[in-house]
Amino acid sequence: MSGLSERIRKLTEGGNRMLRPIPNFSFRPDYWMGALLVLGFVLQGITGFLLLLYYVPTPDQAWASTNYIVTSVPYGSLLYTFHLYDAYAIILLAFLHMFRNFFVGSYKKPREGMWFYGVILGLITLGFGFTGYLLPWTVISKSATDVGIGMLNYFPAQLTAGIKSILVGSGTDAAELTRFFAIHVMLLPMLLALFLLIKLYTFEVHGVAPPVGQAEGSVAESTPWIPDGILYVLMLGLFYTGGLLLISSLFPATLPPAYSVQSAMTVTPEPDWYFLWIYQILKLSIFGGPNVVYALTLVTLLFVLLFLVPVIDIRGGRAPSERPVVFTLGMIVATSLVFLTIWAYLTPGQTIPFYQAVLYIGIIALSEGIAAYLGLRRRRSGRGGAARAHPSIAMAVLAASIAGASASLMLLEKGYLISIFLIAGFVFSSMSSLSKIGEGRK
Amino acid sequence: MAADRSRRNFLKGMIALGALLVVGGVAKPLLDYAVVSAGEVTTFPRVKVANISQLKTNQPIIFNYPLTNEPNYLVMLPEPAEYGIGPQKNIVAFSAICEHYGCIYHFVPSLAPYGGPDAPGGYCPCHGSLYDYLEDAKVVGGPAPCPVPRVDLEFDNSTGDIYAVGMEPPTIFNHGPPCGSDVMDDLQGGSVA
Amino acid sequence: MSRDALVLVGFLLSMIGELLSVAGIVMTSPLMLQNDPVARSLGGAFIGTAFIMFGIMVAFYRASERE
Repeated sequence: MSGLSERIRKLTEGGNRMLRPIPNFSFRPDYWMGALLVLGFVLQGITGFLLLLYYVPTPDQAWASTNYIVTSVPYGSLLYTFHLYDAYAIILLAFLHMFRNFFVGSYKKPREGMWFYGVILGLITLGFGFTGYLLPWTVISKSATDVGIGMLNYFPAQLTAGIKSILVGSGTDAAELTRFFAIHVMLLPMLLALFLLIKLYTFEVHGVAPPVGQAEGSVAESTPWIPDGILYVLMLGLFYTGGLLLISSLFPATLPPAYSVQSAMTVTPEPDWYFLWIYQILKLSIFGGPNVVYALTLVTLLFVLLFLVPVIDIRGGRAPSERPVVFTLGMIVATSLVFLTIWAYLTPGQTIPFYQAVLYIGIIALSEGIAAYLGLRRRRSGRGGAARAHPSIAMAVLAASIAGASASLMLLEKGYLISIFLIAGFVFSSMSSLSKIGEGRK
Repeated sequence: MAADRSRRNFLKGMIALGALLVVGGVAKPLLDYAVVSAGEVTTFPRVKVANISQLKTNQPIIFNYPLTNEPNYLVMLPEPAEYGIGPQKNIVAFSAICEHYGCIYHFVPSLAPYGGPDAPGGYCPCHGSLYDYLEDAKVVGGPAPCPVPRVDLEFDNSTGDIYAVGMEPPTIFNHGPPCGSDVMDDLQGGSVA
Repeated sequence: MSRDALVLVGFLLSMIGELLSVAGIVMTSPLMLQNDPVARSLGGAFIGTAFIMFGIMVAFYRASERE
């Protein structure tokens, strides 16, 4: 037995030598969203494998085998629902994780790499969603996927012929499903593992970004990974998995009907919720017909800008008051994403008049811009603003959702008064909290 | 020492070049494997779709032509139509895929409830495109950039059989550029059966 | 009650919670094989609560380590 405890001691010490100790300030869930994302992907791998035991990737059998899992395999409905909900949870978490790191400015030197690899991982995540959505071959998923691929036709053929061909091969349904399946089950997992490895290694090199205002590399009270860090991650992971299992069992997902031309006639295809904001941009009146290529180019450009954030915001520190423009733009983007998603959900298939989009986004941008200006401008006397200001993530998320909710009230054309009050309340609260943040650790 | 340094750099450079060559050398075969070149179908097949006795007015039959991923509606209309075949010149067939963004549109006996003329045709629930089947699927509403392609039909007077023998421009959605004019594109991007 | 006692009680209660959840999993599993929809929800829910209960146990364990 002493041999065993000796080995465990050596492994523990070795592990703790390799991995940086965890600073005590970071034992908070918002510092561990990345870890939860890794867990989420592992769970997808496990549940995906289990689904693979019954799923058959051919057009005649895809829906039938999925339906068999849901109706006739013990715990099959739970497995299918869990795989779906975990996918949604991962995508949501990825957005939150990205915005969190944007608001705390952790992409600043020396952690630019973390951001770059993160955006790539985000694209891989969306790729998982896009390819996985097709696999059950339901009337909604197949129709939506085909519309998505059809968009490529509006680009010059030389640019997209290669991509289209890799995605759909000869163009038959069977080829399309086979390729989407291969990408979803083999290619993307391998790319994910690669970039995850790179990102985790990079993280260990730099360590966690300290709270804004604390100097980089300042000695912080820390705890070794083994066993304390492991226990913390285990605890978070158990809550995440257990919570998802609970939700999956209480709200089982229903499988939409199988795809056929007849059934396709009866539906209005829409992308899955995480692409609704793109859908809404595509539905703008100025992007009708062949102009859709400009909309798609715009969306591509937005992703490129997202990737380049550390390069664009290269000067100044991490505090919001040191990068007010970028910080505010980020808030406007976060709010707009929520808003566009809600709006798209409310207007399936409808073309959106361009002026309306300009008006609504304009109101959001204006109100958040005013609030940010009032809250972020440096104080002329007294407190030394920049160095002491923490970005308040909770406040930013709150701001985004309040603005989103009030904007959706505008859309539903009820409660104009309520929305005015909400926006005004938001303006005042952000004024006071943005200027006050930095009064010690929250 | 200086010679050592430059020799090291030369060797490093050559290694980098070698790595690039390997990656580049593998890339072409990979693409050849994964990217599918154009299919071999070069002529429109002649396919029997249905017999006139199977057709009821305003009740379309769905059939795939020329490729399996190209569904079309064959329908007998209540009055003679442009390019209609059959004894009453009222049988037509058009692609079932909307030319706007590729949704499968509905055949409806009248477009009037959707803001169109009182004629049978296609109504697309995605963005409201309307196609008038009496006038060669002319776009009479909605954002569709061109009419849906017409299937060339032949009617055999002796047997009453209806054959699909070709496609008219524009090209079917997702086969070739949007609203393209080269019908040979309809033969690419899928398989015959 | 002292902090230590509270932590211990919490730990034991969550352990009981976990045992009950696992019992629930075992009891509902024959019904899962027959695909009864109500049992399906219960069976899955018990798995979820088992995880959560264990998570709470770990939380109390960490608290006990922390003095």
